Amino acid sequence: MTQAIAASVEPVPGGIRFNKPTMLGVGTMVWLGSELMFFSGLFAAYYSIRANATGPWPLGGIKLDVIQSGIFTVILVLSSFSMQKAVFDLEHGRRKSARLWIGITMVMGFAFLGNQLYEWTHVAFSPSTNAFGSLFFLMTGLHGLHVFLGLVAMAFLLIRIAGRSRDPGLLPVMQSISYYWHFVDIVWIALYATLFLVH
Amino acid sequence: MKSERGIYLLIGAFFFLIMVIYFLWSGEAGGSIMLFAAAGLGIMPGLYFAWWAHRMPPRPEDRTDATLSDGSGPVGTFPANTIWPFVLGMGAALTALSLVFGVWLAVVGLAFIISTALNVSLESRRGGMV
Repeated sequence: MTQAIAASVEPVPGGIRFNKPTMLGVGTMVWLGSELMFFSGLFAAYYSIRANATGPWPLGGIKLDVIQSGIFTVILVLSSFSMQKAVFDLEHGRRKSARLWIGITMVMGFAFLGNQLYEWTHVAFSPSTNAFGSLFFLMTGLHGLHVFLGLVAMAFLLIRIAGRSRDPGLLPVMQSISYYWHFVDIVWIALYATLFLVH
Repeated sequence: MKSERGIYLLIGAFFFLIMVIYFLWSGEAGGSIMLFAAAGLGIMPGLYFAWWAHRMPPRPEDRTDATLSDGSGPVGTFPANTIWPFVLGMGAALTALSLVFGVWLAVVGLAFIISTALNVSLESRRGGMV
């Protein structure tokens, strides 16, 4: 009965009862470990270059819009909460509400990406300007790609939720995408602090 | 789940300690960040298991008074046989080969990849192979 209960998305009286984390969930956490090392390599490169740079940092007197990016950082953090709300809804069999909250999460994710594109086209430097420029575009770009892939995954998730009601694989997929989304969110908080605040 | 939690958090704590020593000793940021992430490799799954230990009753393997029959029943949800990993592999191979033979091959490869993504989602919708 273990996994069968955890995997059911039918309404359960008194709420759903879990017996253990799903294998997909544990696998996702292991994979996120490799993602963590991937991003930490970028952070290490950034701080190594910064430590070896002479003169003020960011190089060349680059100014970034801390407030605007801060607002969209808050939006991305809020999207983590809406995603978790969707997970809890699906765990309790509230499929309609889950779809709504995934939709809200996607809107916030796209808003964040939109701001990212706006920033990319409006900053006064390019990847070839200096080392800070290269790192700024590399780090925000790779993070933006992760956000985009998360949104693609959510789009497929919406298709899947619209499908048959007894889909034993649905809830683990939903949970795993939420782990990924929280991870991408936390990485952005560190990126925002690194690129925009710590000068 | 509590023993898994303990193992992972211990690994995380070890690397965190090493990170602090390394940073105080060398004052070098790059390596310290990598060690911090290494601590995260333990802390992240550790907190995940701690959360699950909190939201579920102890499994038979967590209890000392468990019997063999307590552990019986379905082990998990497994995917049935499916063709799409093969198609995905074809798509990835063709897309990679486009670096050699030209962009036109990437169009074919991406078509395979996109159709895989769609059909894996729709498999569950049709109620066929999950």
